[in-house]
Amino acid sequence: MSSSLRVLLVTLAVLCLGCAAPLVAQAPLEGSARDRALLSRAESLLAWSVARDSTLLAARRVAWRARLAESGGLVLVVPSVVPAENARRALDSAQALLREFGGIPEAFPRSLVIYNSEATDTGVVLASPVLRARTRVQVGLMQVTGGSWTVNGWMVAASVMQAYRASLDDGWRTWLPTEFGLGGWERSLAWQAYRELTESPWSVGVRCVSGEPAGCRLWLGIDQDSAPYTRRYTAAELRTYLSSSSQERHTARSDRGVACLQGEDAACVEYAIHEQRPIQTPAAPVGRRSLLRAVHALHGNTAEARALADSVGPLGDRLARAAGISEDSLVREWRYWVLTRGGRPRERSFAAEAVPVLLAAGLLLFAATRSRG
Amino acid sequence: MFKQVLFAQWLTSRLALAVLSVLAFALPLVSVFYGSDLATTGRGGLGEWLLVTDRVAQVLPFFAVLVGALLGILAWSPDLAGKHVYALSLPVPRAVFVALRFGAGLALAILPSAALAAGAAVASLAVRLPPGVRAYPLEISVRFTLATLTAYAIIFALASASRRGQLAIIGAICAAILLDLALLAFGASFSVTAEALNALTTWPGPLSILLGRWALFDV
Repeated sequence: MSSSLRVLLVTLAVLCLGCAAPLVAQAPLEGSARDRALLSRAESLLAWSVARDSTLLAARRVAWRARLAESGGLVLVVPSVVPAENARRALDSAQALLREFGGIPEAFPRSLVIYNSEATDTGVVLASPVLRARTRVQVGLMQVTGGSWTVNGWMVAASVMQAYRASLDDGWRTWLPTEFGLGGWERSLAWQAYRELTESPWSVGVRCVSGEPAGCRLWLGIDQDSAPYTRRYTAAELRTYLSSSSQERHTARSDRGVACLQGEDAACVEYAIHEQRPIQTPAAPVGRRSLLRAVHALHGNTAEARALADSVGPLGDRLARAAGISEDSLVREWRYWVLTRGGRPRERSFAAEAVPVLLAAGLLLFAATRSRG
Repeated sequence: MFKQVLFAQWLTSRLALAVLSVLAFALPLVSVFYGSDLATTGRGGLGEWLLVTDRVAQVLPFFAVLVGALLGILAWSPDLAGKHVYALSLPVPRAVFVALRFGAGLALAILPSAALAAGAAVASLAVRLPPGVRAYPLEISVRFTLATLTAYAIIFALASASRRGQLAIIGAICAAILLDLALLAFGASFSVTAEALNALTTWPGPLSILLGRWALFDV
């Protein structure tokens, strides 16, 4: 055997031994004292880890147990990680927001149980005899800086409003915007509504700005139309919308969509009805919300409540009935209110405005003549 | 006698009146500066145009107060400058003299009001309005005249009051503010000044003319 062959064989033997070593390590431990010590150490580590996990799990279970808070008949079930004081404050704030809106009957929130499903025993709490009869409404949680969990009044009030919307008839359910009654009508919202109406891409919006009540009714979608797409939109408008950069790819996927893009008017209407694009009401949520806000501002929150509780006839009729005026007068008022960002249509005669001025001027002149200068 | 008083007042106020009249004529025209053919304007264009009209409308009540206040002060400036010697030398009772001064100031206040009416009329005629938007040149002119009269009468009466009377008025205002601060310190939500202002600016308060819609073009 040559020396080079011997070197090769030795190298191979070393390599084989090297590969075999891990296999030996994986073999069952022999009964030596070292092996037993190692085994016992591994078992102890495993037991510690299991114990630690179960302790953590138990702690989490305790921390995330359902906590029940109640204020003024409003019931909130949230995990215990939300401090009790925080939950109560959220309920108080939600009640203030609901009172400010005023469109929801006072008894309605008391028929609900607002809960967060993250709590470990939510089901048990909700099944309790006191809460079983109440309608369940979900609310989200918020993690604030520092990692603690909280719930705020806005979220609770929004949940109540959504539940109320869901309890209404189909007309209101589809028409009411998501946050239809939350918060005030700030300057920014008034501007949004103004721009929404004056810059509306739909011809019914332009007719409304021009002072045509029928245009306003169609723009707001408050008439009960059996064919809303043909009454509220023109085929050309639908085509323009469906061929816009954000819509065209989607439209081109359907035969009717393609036919619409190629100029077939009937296809545009059929496609819009089938896809529900654009939405049935030309007014965006802020525009629809402005009508409710106008009723609230001009006729009080009781009118708003009456309209929402009404389920007879078209939405425009319900709002007009609640306000005690005709539907055309209502949309005229609303139009003025939006275009003047909160103005009320003139009620007084000009002579009535002149009388106090003339009286005051006369009085001041009299005072001046009497003074000794 | 009225002629002489009017002439004397004209001499002291003519420069101010000229400037105010030019401004009063120009203000309504600003409304149509952004375009005169609104019947064919785009949707966004109409919205923007109504906004400009609204901005001008917000300036008008302040301008009316400025005109009234200036004329009210200027009505008494010759007497203040001459230490009331001229007034005392006249063979008329003070009450008549004050009424003459008031009337003269009022007659001069017609100039800026007429200028505003002319500007409003020119602006209304120059623009082609879309349906649903209307021009109110007469209403805005009368409103401006009334607001000017209110401010003029207040300042005229204040300027004609004796030193003691003026101090009493200023003292009453300061007392109301102090009372408000005291009420605030005790956590009360009632405010004397806010209530008084509310009473003055809500119809039939004399200052209610300053609030409300002042737009030359309205929906």
